[in-house]
Amino acid sequence: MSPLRAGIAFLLVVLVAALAYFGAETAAVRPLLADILPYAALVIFLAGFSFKVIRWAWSPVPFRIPTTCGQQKSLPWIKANRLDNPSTKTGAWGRMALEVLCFRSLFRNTRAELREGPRIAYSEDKFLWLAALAFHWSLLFILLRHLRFFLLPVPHWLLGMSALDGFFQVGAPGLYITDGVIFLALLYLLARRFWDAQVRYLSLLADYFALFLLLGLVLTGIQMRYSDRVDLERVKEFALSLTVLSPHISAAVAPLFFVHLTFVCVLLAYIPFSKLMHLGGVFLSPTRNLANNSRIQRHINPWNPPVKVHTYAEWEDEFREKIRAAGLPLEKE
Amino acid sequence: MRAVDNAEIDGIAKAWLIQVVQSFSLQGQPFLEQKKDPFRNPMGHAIQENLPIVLQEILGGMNRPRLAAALEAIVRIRAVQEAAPSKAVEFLFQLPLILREQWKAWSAEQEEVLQHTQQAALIAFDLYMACREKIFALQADEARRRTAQLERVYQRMEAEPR
Amino acid sequence: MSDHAPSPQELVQITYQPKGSTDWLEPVATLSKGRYCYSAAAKNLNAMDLPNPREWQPFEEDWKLPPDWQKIILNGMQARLKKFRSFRLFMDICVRCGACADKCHFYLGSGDPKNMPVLRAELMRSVYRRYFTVAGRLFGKWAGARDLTVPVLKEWFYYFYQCTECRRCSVFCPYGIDTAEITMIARELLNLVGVNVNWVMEPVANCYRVGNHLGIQPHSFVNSIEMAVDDIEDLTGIRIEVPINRNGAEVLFVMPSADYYGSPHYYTLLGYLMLFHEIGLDYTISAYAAEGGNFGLFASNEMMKQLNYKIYAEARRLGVKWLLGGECGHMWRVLNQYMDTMNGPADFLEVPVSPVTGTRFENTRSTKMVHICEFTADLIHQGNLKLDPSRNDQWRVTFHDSCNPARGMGLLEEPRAIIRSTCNQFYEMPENTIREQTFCCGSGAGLGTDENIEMRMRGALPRANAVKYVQQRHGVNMLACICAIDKATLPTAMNYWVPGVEVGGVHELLGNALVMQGEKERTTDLRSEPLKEKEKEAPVHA
Repeated sequence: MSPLRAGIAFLLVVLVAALAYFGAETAAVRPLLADILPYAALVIFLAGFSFKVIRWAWSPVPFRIPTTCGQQKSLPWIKANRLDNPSTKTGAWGRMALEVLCFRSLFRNTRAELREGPRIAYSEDKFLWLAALAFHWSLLFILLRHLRFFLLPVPHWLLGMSALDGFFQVGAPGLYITDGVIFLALLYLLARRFWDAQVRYLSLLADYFALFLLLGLVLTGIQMRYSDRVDLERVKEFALSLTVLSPHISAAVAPLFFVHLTFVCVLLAYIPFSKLMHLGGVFLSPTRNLANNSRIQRHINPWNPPVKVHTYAEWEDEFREKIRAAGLPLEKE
Repeated sequence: MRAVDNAEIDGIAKAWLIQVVQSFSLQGQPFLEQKKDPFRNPMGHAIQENLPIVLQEILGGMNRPRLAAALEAIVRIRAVQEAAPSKAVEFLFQLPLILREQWKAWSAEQEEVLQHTQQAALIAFDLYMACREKIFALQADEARRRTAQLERVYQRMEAEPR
Repeated sequence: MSDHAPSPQELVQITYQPKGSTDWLEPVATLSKGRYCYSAAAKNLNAMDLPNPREWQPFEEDWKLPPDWQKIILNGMQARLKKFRSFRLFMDICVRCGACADKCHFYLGSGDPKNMPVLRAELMRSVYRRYFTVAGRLFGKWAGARDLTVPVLKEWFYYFYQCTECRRCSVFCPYGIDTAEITMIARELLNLVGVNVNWVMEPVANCYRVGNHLGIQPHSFVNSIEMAVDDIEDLTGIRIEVPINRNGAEVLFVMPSADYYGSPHYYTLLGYLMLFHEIGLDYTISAYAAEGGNFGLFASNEMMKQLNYKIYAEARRLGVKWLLGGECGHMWRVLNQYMDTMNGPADFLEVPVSPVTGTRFENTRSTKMVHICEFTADLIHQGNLKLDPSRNDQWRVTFHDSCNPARGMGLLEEPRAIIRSTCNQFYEMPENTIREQTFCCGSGAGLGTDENIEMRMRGALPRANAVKYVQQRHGVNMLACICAIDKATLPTAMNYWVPGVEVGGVHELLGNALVMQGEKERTTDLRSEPLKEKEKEAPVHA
């Protein structure tokens, strides 16, 4: 099943690329891609994303259910783990920060190996963590770097950041580290969906689609920058025109850019309907963002349902003789 | 018997391992061979550890205690996975076919290996039955422990009624 | 496990190739014996006013579902999506990265891919997609969606009762997706159409009406406590008193009922009672709230609340100041994460203060319920107990963190502190098998029944494997734990996988080591086994 799913996902992405490429060369379609699609995608993204987040937020958190991953706060002489088992709001924020910025949970993937000698060696099984972290951070950097197309003048911090990214000054134009990193990370994430039998078995079409789409996005970006260079001035003109709601794209901009742009739009519009919503969801996870303080502070369940209970009086009524025989005190003789 | 060097044993063991792992995994997903961590993959670890020992003994000296110990480690797991004994000891019947493929010529000497395999299968079968019987015994024991103190209470109550 | 004797033809057909790459969207064809629990008896459903009481069994073709079962389930899902953020979120955000895949003890012990936490959740998610998402409605199985059919429902029953709600997967998930949460919702949904297991519903019904899982009535309860008092007298020469249903005590002590009817739980009970006597605790136990365990947790949040109600109610009736809870795993998940929310506020109680050490348990200032290990660790730390660890020298001890105190609370160091003070020989299992990464016993969440034993033994394999490691390395022969289900089922698992390792409670070890005022010289431990002879001082070599 999996190869079929991957194949279809791949073809879908190729189809998007082909439509964009040939659309860019068709007079009737070109304005559609440049002038309408970005707005449509942005609207779908914003509306869909907010809808989902609001719908999550709408569902209450009836119980305080953090997964505790360290020592609780109890006795003063026992050192509590403030981040993996926070007892305060600050601690919970810290835990979330570790989770969102460093992927703390994925980092736990240790592996024990028995080696010769009297001890176990813990080797790190951290490739997934590393690839995920590399991918997400690179993506963030690249997104920020792209701001320079939308801002005039380009702020200093952005220039500084780009310079940092291109620190190694390899090739001309300078190679951005993040371009290489994100490509390799995506390749790894894709490859393990093929190689790792477990992950292969459970992967859905959507899993491959997201990866192929992102790969397509990265590859077209890299190609535009390093080989089939597009006229960046014209692209910037276009980007700025988008921001002032009067989109205009020069005829000089090559179709490859349209493919890149369409990938971005498809990705944006796809996010609210897909697992990529984890981008918003991670912040709302009740097993991570709550402090383990349910014995310190009462947590309120807004729908706390009334239930039928078996009261002491009913119990005593039912077992009166036996309670008496056992010599236990009775409320009613 | 034909001398078999270590490299050859390794090759055969590997081929066998792959088949065993495939037939062990449900739904045909070959998961077991992947993770080396004995604590993250106890099942795969047991098979990887013991299959080569079984092979060595079948091809070599047939040291029965050593063979039985290795077989037991595998069969004990199978005994809580597949109730059909045929499935639980199947892996031993896969070996001759692998050997036949590996060695091409099937000399009379190698008939001895076949006999060894059969003996190993009989041992495995006994071990399997022992494991199953143990499970039944454990069930009974657990049920007894569940109310062990209560039984004592009832005996007391009978002995000295209030 | 095949349910029929194989034919000669089948016997010679040995599989050499993978059985073909099946698609997980296909429900499993048969529910194999030894991997599921029997259905709940109608009387137990009636006792709890639950729908669709009837005689049926999982191995039967017809489960006698109500005609509109599909609608009931889907409406139930809709309602729960609105009630639980966890459910809605966990349905939406899984990226299927597979980090959880090899973290489940059932998957490790069985190799059944649908025991991977991610796929267990996908069994539910696929139905969610089909009925509650745009992509699933439009693209069906290409979006990983599937219809809610009878085989799918059966598969839910099969796999959501192959999950012990241990939360180990949740530790490794980058979004904290907790399969326990999904399993709990799935079981609530199954309850709606009368698909439940007896091992959960019978204890629930008994506990509700009588006050404990086995339905032991008050006079037998009192008798079992008296027996414990007698046993302690035999052992120590001291006659202690155990108040039951006493008005005006300072503390109400609640323990899992297995402590007073099962073995080896009972020795833990002896340990508690000896401790309370020794420190002169002003306490009572209750014959009404005689069950700390709460199998409602394994059925639905409403049932959990129904059973948990008794604890605060009894504390109020008896006029105690605070609560102390015994050694039990899932009981503490409920007490820590649910009780106050469900049946609080406990504003009629006072913040617990140890009458011996004066320690104020600020960490319980809302629920007012202290874990016995917190209480005892404090006593030991403040030097209020006289201990002779050599009386545990027959044991080489390792500690099994029970899932719920570990991952639903974080009670990790308190029991260890007690063990270190009461035992001379304590060895930890490998790091990725203890504390928050602890492996489940494989029998929790209502699965600890006879008919399910094969599944349980597989689930226990990862734990046993780690025990075996310390057995071989350090000669460990005692697996200490603080959970009644562990004490009931780990002896079986140890006996199968690692013979020679006994299972006992932390307070059993404490009871052995506790030097009581005026006690006679002990010749046996709490199990009536002779103590290990104290080693004579080694002669000095000339």
